[in-house]
Amino acid sequence: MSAKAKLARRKRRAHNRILTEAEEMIVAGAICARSEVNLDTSTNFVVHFVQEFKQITVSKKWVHDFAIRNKLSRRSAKGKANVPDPDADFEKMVSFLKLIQAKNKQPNQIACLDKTGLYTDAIYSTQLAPIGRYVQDYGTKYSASAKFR
Amino acid sequence: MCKTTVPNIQRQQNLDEISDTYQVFFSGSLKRVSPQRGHKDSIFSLVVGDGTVGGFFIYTKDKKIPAGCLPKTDSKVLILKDEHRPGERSTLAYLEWAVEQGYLTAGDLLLMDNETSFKTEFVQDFLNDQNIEFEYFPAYRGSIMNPCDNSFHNNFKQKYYAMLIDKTSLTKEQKFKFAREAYFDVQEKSIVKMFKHIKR
Repeated sequence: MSAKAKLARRKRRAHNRILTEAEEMIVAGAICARSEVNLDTSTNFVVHFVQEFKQITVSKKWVHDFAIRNKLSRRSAKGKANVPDPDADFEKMVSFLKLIQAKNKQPNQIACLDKTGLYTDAIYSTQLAPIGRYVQDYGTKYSASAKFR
Repeated sequence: MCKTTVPNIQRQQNLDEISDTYQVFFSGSLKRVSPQRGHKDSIFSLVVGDGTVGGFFIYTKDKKIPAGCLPKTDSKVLILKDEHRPGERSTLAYLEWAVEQGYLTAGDLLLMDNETSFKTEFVQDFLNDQNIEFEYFPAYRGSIMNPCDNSFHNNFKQKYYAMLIDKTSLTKEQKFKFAREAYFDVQEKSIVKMFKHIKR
């Protein structure tokens, strides 16, 4: 028996398959298309889709196997980021600036305050020496960048 | 499929040939030398519309910092160790100091972002008592509208980390001095432009 014939036989052998290979491709395609536009592609969706498509109720186990067969991966859904509407946001910013302008302040009367963090931990350089020996701190004398000046 | 191994010299020759014939551009950039990191200390920055800056105020938890490490005329080191609500306390301390030094006077308009420590009851009461008007930038838009957040910190930090880049050993006080130097090094013209950036 040739390899081609073996493959064809293996495909035919699944007599208890709920969907044929072509039908499974349709379901997998629907899932891919929906995931592109961030729509629901959960197990429940697949169950409902197959029910409407073939009037067959599939189990969760079938969906699990179907996903493996069609090389689909499972991932936890992330909520949409809370991004403000750009137009409303722009209006908000403009109205804030108008509010500031309405106060008629001179430039030297308008101050902006903010806070920022800065890494200020001390940096120590280590020098090689016998144990217990006092070592002088050379500072930048032998630093890598100082060498090439 | 069997794996074929290409000797390094041959591989290099192949790469050279490819780059000669097809003009290959290799992506990526050289690793940038970044300064050593550790704990963060907070700095309050006050930027005024006419291009001036407020005093240099740094808040640290390190108790070993000597009192006179920075000149008292235009700078202050606040040491708060394990205090309750340190953000609010440091903000109040800064505002008191700014009023004392004359950086903020009655009738001024203070613009802040929506950080919790700027919005507490004590802070608002203090500002009202001093007749300093205050407004908060729209939520999540401080990063665009606030000239401090937007441009000043970037400018200041660039100067600060550039000063540290070739130093192999530095104490905390020295770092504070460099930070103060970098803070006052930002030019007036640049600050005025930072404000104009908002109007665009």
